[in-house]
Amino acid sequence: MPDQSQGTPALRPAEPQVSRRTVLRGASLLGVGAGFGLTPLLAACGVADDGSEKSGGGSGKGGTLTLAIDSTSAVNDPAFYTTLGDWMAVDCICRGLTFISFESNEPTPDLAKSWKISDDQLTYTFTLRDGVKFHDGTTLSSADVLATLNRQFDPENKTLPKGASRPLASLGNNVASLTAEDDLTVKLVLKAPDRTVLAQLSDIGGRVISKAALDKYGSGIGKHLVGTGPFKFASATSGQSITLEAFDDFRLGRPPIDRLVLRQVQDPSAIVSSLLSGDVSATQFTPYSAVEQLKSDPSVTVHDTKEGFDAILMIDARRVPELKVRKAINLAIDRKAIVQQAFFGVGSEPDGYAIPPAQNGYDTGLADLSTKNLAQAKKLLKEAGAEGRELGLMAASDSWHPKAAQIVKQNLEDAGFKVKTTSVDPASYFSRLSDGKDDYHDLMIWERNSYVPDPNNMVGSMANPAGLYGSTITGLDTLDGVDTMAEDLLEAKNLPVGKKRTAAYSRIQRRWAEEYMVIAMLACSTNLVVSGADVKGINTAALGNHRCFMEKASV
Amino acid sequence: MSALPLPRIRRPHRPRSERVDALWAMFRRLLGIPVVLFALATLVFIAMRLLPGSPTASLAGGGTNLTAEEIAQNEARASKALGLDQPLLTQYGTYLDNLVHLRFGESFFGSNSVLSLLGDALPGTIELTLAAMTVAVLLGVVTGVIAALRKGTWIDTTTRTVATVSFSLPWFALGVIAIVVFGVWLRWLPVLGRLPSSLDYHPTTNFVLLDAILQNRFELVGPWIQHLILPATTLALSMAGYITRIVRASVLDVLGDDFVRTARMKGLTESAVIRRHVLRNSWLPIVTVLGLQFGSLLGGSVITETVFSYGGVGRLLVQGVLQRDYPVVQGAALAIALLFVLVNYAVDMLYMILDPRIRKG
Amino acid sequence: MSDRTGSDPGLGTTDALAAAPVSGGAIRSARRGRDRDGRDREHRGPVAKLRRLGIGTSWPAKVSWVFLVAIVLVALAGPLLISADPVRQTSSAMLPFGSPGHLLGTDDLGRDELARLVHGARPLLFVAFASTALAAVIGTGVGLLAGYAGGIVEQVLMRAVDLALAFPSILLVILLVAAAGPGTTSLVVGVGVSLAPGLARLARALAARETARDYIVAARLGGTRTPRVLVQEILPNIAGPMVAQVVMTLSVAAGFAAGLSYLGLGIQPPTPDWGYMVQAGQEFLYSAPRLVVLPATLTLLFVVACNFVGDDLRDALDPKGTV
Repeated sequence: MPDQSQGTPALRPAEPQVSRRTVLRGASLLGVGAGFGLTPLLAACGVADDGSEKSGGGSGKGGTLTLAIDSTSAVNDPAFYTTLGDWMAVDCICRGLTFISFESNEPTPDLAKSWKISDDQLTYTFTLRDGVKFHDGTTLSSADVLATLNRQFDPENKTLPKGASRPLASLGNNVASLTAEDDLTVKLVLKAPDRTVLAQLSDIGGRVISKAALDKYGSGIGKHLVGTGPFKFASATSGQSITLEAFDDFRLGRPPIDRLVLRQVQDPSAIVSSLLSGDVSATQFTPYSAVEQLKSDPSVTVHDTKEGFDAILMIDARRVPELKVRKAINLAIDRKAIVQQAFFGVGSEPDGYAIPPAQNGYDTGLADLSTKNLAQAKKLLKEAGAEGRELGLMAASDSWHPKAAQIVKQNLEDAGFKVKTTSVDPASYFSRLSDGKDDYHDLMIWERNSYVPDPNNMVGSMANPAGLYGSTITGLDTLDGVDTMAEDLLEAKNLPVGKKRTAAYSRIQRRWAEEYMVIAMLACSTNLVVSGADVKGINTAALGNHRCFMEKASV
Repeated sequence: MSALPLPRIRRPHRPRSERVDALWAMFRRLLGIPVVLFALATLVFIAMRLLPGSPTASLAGGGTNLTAEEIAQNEARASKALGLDQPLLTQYGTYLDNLVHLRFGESFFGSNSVLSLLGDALPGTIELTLAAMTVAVLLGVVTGVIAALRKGTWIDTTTRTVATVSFSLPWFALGVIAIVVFGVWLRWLPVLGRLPSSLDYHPTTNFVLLDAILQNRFELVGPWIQHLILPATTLALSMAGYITRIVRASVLDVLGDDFVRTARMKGLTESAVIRRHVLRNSWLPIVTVLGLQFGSLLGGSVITETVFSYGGVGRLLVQGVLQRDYPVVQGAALAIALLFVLVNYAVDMLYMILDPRIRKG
Repeated sequence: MSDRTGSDPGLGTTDALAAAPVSGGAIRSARRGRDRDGRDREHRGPVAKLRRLGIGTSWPAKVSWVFLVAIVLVALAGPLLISADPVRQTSSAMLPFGSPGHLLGTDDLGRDELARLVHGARPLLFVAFASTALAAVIGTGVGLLAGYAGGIVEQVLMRAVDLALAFPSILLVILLVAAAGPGTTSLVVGVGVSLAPGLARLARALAARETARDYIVAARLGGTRTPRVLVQEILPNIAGPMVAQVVMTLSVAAGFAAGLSYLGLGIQPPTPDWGYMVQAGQEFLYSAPRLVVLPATLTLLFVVACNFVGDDLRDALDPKGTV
């Protein structure tokens, strides 16, 4: 899908982040039973224009922008993922040291006006912008940064709510020290080089909270979040909505709208209807099936955002031990049908294997790794003596997953497998993934999304034998010779962005696919961003990645 | 007799002692309420923990760049923080102890207190339920009375047929259709939530009507009603058909009673007979049935709540189960059951106190 | 005597069980009049036989009987007659009405819509009948025992019934599905258990009344063993009203099951099922409304037919107006 909303992609490596999609999913996706039929996990996030009461005041045009969200727990805490919608609010309330606009993939200065990286790539010295105001009136200083990041790095931090997921925990494990040189200088020392640090700090987990507010509210900060972002927290009702108000002293100027309301809308048809009726004027959770309908309706705009996530089929190598059989599975898949029927054309075939078009390192030279060849599949299956092999296929019951599962089931049966499928509510899905003894653990359909577009975030996570995918889910770590994969990955991660790095990742991916084939790529897609025709200035590229930058939006 | 008193149409005169018996039965039932709730709490507690999938797996997964080992550590930490590492019996003991002290715990996902979550969700559900019932009763009583008075005519047949069809309507599709027609095509009514996003509403009680009065903000009422119309009507339609049938039967029954005949013989006009005698004597079964309906709507309008994005307790319950958020499910189930039991108890009390045939007896 | 036989079908569905007790008598008396008229005309043949049984006495009831019998036949035999595969995906997706070879078109995965509708009748019918049967067995058993035994047994059983009534049925089904996986078993058990309390209350009331009668007292004094009294003496005497009520339960079960399927708690894809088809078809509400309208209409007609037939049977089987 062509990307119109994105500028020239910067060829600088942004580093991988916690995959948002996975976080979501892991975080028990909102249990909203999409799978359970009605509510797609990923509920809608849209901008709705209420029409009424375009309030004046302030510098902009005013008015209320309503974003439909998947769900809200009325807790907005950068150290605790609860729902996508809650985190979109965090994204509006707080800003980080660095910023990635998604229109470019490059980290740019935000609260840090500049930084120095030592030659050994271990020491990062950030100089903070002077005079940045928090919503509570305090001024940004290094104490705020330390207080914020220490919540991420230290599991015993007193301001963490119970069960906090600390999205930057893995960065923390690599941090030797974090200190304030003076009021406006912060020094971060790593144990091992990591070129993804600047990108990770731009993610929601790295968003800076007012220390005064942290001292005041402690672990209850999620109900009173105070940051430096364009919108300040006004109120939140669990299961219903979050209301934010424009912040007059925002560093880049007061946003044009007065109020930003994030409203929970879970039913897919309700999302479409409310976009058309104007109750919601934008969302990235639009059901794919509605794309044609919405494109033909002049009252809404369907935005083309670049494909940023992978739809994947994970194969447990412990239960499907023959490489030939795993390759046969990969060869049987009809990706065209998946793109057309499960994603309704909003997507593309995975020509760059695990790296989607929106990210640096996309290499169509890998297209042969994901082609359909039924005859070859049957041949491999015969050679392995595995005709009629019975496979269990598990998919979450929300969004595109059940449909992709039906297509894959048919493809595999055409190749000579017997397939039994089960669809699982998303909350159970994550824990069943982690249970290698589950009846349906042979094949699992999932997705990999990233907040920050970088090969390390996709390949680095999924091909790492010690990672969740490599060990618990696919058993890659039990296969011969994988030790060198981890080393190659580390090396590729710390190469500067450019041809060399792309080549390194392509090499790794080819080997990963040809020698192991534990993850078959199904498609690349994006979250479908749709807005009311009168809504202007929303960052659709970011919204397509569940990031919410509404400081320029107007209604 | 232990069960709920039996509303009967044809009720023989009861001697006074029978009334005392009935009161005694009601009292015993009151004592039974805590037992029922305790059993329910225990059942839900056990059922949630028997479910596959755990809340900690979800919590710990927040960062899939972590290694499998780091995730396991996260999970252990979450498990400890939430007290899920304790033996089941200990957890149950703690739960009961908290329950007795009216502590309902906190959600695993963000530490919201269960009471505050219920405070957010229940008012919406109750508003919706009451609005739906009001519409249903108005519709149902009018059509039911007309059908009864025109018994045997085409009006009666048509009314009963329409009523049967209306209470068989697949209410799950009804809301979606209503949204398309009235929200998208005609654009008459809003399709989302309880109030427009542009309205600044800071709940005091979270009952909008009540808050409008308390906060002296009557401009809330109009938009609130607009938002209520579609979901309430959707729910009401199916209920109305059902009430029509009950009202018709009940009115027919009363029409045959001696006192109606007497009233007619006294020369009262037909409308006076109906107002003063028939309706007054036929609303009891209606109230009883409404009590039961109220209960099932409380936990039951999940689909309506979802389709209209009307944050309510049904969704809270479903979401809680899906997330394995034990305290939320336990609290919501208990709250729904408590309301159900109390409302029906109150209905039965009302029935006993007000039933003219008992009163006269 | 009439009992309040409320149940909690959940999901905001209307509770036909509770309607039954009050509406029965009056509607019935009206119908019996017509019924007698019918018999006076001395019809012959099977239809007349039915009429003598008091079945099919109003036009909605007649139409409903025909529809219900037809739909059961289609569910049983239809799959044998239709050659198109309801599961097999083809590349010809979203064909409209009247496409060659696909009378009702195809769905989003290129499957024949007619075949899916015909095959999709089975799950709903099965769940409706099986869960009603389950509810009837549990409800009658518990009610019978409670009504007959009285005292502490009755207290305990009826408290359990209160508990079941207060237990939100949507929660029950979701718990079952989460534990046992989605599918017919979870649905049948969930719906059956949810509907049992209503029947139990009726059975208890009826049994208590019978137990007080002389013939039962005599049988007990005569040393007849309890199971024998229950099954051979009491059960036959409460069967009429119970059967009538059970048939009413069928329509509630059908509506409830369809709703749960719609929520994704029922039959899993790719197996065709009306409830799931409504839910899946909803995606195409704007682009291909037939995908949601057809299964939704069939579901509606089935539930409506169950209601009319239930009314009709009640008139026939419970002429005293017990229910």
